[in-house]
Amino acid sequence: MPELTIDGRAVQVPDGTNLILAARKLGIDVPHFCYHPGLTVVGSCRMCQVEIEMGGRKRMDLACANQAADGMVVRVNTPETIKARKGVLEFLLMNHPIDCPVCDDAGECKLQDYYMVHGLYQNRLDVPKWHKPKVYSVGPRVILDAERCVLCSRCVRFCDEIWGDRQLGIFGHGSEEVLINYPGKELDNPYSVNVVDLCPVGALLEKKFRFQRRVWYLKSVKSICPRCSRGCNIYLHVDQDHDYKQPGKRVFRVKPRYNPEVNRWWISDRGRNGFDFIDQNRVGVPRIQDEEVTWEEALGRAAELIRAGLKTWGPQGLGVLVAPSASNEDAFVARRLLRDLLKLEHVDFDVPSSDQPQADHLLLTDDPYPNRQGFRDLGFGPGEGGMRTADIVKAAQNGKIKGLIVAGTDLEGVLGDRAAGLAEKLGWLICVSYAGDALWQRAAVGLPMAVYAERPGTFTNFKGKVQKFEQALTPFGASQPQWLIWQRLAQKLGAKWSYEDERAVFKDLSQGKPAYDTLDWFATFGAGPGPYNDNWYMW
Amino acid sequence: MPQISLVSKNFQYPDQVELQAALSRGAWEQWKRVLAEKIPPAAIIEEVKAAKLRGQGGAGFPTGVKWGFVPKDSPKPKYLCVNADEGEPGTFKDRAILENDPHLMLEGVAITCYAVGIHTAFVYMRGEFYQPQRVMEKAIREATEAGLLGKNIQGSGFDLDVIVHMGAGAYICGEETALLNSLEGWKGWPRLKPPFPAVVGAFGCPTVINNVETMAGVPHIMRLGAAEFQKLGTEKDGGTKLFAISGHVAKPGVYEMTMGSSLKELIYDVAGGLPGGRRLKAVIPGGSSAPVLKADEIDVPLEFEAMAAAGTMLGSGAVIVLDETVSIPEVFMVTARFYAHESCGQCTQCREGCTWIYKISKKILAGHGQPSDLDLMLDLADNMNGKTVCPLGAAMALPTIGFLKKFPHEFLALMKS
Ligand SMILES: Cc1cc2nc3c(=O)[nH]c(=O)nc-3n(C[C@H](O)[C@H](O)[C@H](O)COP(=O)(O)O)c2cc1C
Ligand code: SF4
Repeated sequence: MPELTIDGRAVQVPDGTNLILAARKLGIDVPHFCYHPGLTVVGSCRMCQVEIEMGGRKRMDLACANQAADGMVVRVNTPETIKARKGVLEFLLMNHPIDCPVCDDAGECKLQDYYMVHGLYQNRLDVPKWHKPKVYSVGPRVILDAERCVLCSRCVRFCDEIWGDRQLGIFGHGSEEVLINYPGKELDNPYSVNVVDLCPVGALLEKKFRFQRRVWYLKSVKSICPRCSRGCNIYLHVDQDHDYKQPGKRVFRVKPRYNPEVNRWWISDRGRNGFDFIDQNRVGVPRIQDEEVTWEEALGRAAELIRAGLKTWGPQGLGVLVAPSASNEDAFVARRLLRDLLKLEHVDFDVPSSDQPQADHLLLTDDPYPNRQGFRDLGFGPGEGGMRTADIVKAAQNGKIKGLIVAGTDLEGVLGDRAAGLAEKLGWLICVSYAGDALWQRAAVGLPMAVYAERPGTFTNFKGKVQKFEQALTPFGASQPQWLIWQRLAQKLGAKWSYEDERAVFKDLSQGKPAYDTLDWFATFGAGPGPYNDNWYMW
Repeated sequence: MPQISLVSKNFQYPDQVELQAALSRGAWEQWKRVLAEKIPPAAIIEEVKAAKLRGQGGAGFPTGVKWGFVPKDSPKPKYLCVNADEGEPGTFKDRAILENDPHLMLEGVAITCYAVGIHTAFVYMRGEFYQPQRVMEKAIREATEAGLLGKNIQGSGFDLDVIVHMGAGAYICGEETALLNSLEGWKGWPRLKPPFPAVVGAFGCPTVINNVETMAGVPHIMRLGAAEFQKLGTEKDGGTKLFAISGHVAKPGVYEMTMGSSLKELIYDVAGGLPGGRRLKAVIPGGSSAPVLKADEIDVPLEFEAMAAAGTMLGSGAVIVLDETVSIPEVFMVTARFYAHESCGQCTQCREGCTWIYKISKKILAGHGQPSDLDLMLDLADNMNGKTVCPLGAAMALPTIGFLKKFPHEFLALMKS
């Protein structure tokens, strides 16, 4: 563990730590473009020059390419280093179109930030600028403005080193050099939008987000990606205050959140694109058949149907399907109601999905749901002699199961037209849902559910890691978190217990379970202390 | 006697490119002796160190010392790359060796590989060198057939393959680490150092990179002995050097001089002075990257340290003589155009700075300059100098400073007041 001094302050860092990370540990930012902790060091932008004194000898060198050593004295800001950085900045801006007012990256751009610190010079360029490709589609999800590009090669290295296929390259030489697709290749890998996060300027932009919202209107909330069982750590970027442009749209984009144990700096394009359901086709008012009612009425009706169903058909006549997109808190309360209180047998969560991810070597798993492992760990599932999903659906279709409760399932996506038919075969269907799908339309009782972004909770990923997501939005309409719906139903059916909030549920469900004990509900979930900023896409 | 024939001794014989003729003039003798006498590799490295042979590619790094950096017990294979990219404007001395005496260079390659424990050598040749390629490939074929290269050479158990690899014509691929990237099939972008090629070079393996002329000096060290060889030159720069002299001299060409000879002598006595009685204006003494010398500054010894003390460099030994008819701003513009075109584009300052300076120089020639442009260019040069991955940024910055500081009046004269 070498100990060194940076800007007069001592710091100890692990062997092999470079000077950018060592400085960051002290909260000192060394400006840089091409360096990124997840990629190889190329040292080509030349922005991170610092003064390094070692054994009495001073030199100016790159902070990215030099590792901390015992007794090293580093000065980030000396007249020479400031001039050197200012020089680099001036060269970078030389051919830059300076079109910040129409650039989506404004507010998140290193050129802007560093100019405010190191630039502020009078423009000395009086010769014409180069012109390069603009509004150039490099792939299905990413668009390029090569005039804004600083040629840091981060995107090129991402494709090469992280995904493993050269889809981008830097071609030509001198200042005619340009970033563009590798001949015959599209930037179409399943992680392609990570290059947008990596791009320190506004050269590579996400098509889906382009011109949607200025970034300073967005609030960033820590969350977990619900689109496969990896549980990548993400930020949801939401705007609840500016609905004037696109009414109803609250989530604007998903950004990765650094977690060394799960997803490092990356997320898949699948995860990044999977937020439309939060603002589309939502249901917000409880229903009895097609009639909108109050929660009390709807829950009362549902309890009545269940009680009557148990009496006439017995527990064997009832089935429950809950998609494991629900949180641990939901699953726990659901189990207490369905298995412990009502003693139902045909209770399952292994529901299929029409939206199957394709597993690969990086992050994506082949499980479309984020919390299957959590459901397993919490003992949610069929009782002895209980059926699994496929049999429950079959039994519902041939009339053996007469009362069916579904929560958050994608039966319409899986069964297609047969989903509607299924509802007709049943005595009754109780539908807990966020979307107004075919089952919702045909339910005897419809209970509108808040989505994960609208309440806090935890998911257990496929490796058994329990991770918390926070509430980013208020629940749509009158919708409520799934656990609360189960709890209120349980109370109507005679339960004596109740929880105040998600945290209380989590406390109860984690009792005596080491996997959950590691998670402190109040902790902010980042990478923990360390040199990495978990707001990493600003690296 | 400053002019001398050592490396260039056999350039005069057209048949020197044929193995038999070369053998008759003593080619490959030192290689055979090394193998026959089983001279220990370490002894050869010591000999080259003692001979004070310095790299002839431009940087003048002591050759034996460089060989000594190669790890002795690396489990990986080691490689030699002969730098035959010769791209520095004004330089054409390696070509003379490649075309006229390929066996001399190959013998040096063989001895070097033996000394460092290398079994594969690449000759990385400039893309435009069509004729040298043919000559070299034939020489390698003949030497291999004669058992001087290849497997189990002369029954010694030592193997050596020599492979000619053609570049694609980028100047930057003469920079040793760009050369390695190019050789490996990547874009010719210089690598960050450290690690140095002697430790992590071609294909991640320890690699020696030496200039063609450096290789050609090695057999002469073995023949003369270190002491004799060193004495030809100066205390720190042993032996001789080929100078490619061009521009306004009566007899442009390649001349071999002992290290430490005078630049003035080279221009006036060896190359015949300036033709037509014209007056000397300036000399670029070591290829286009070397800062210019004024007419009254040329009394310097041709030696790495002395040239550095004079504020310029010996570089590749390409002497460009400019007489009074020459416009310095025009020479400067042409130089800047070259670097703007040849910058590999990796480092910000070099990529943008070379072009910016070139554009300003064009503007000045077109009569649109202002006096403040000179300060601007000097400041840009300062922002580039020594702050880039490879020395190409400095190779633009230093001549800029040289031209602007020594001939400001010529630039100012082009500006309307
Ligand atoms: C831009 C640039 C171009 C170079 N071009 C050449 C070249 O064409 N030939 C050469 O031998 N060395 C060239 N060099 C020097 C090499 O990097 C390296 O120092 C040399 O090949 C080492 O061999 P030596 O020690 O025998 O001189 C160049 C260096 C730079 C920075
Ligand atoms: S200094 Fe110029 S040529 Fe050398 S690596 Fe940097 S950009 Fe390339």
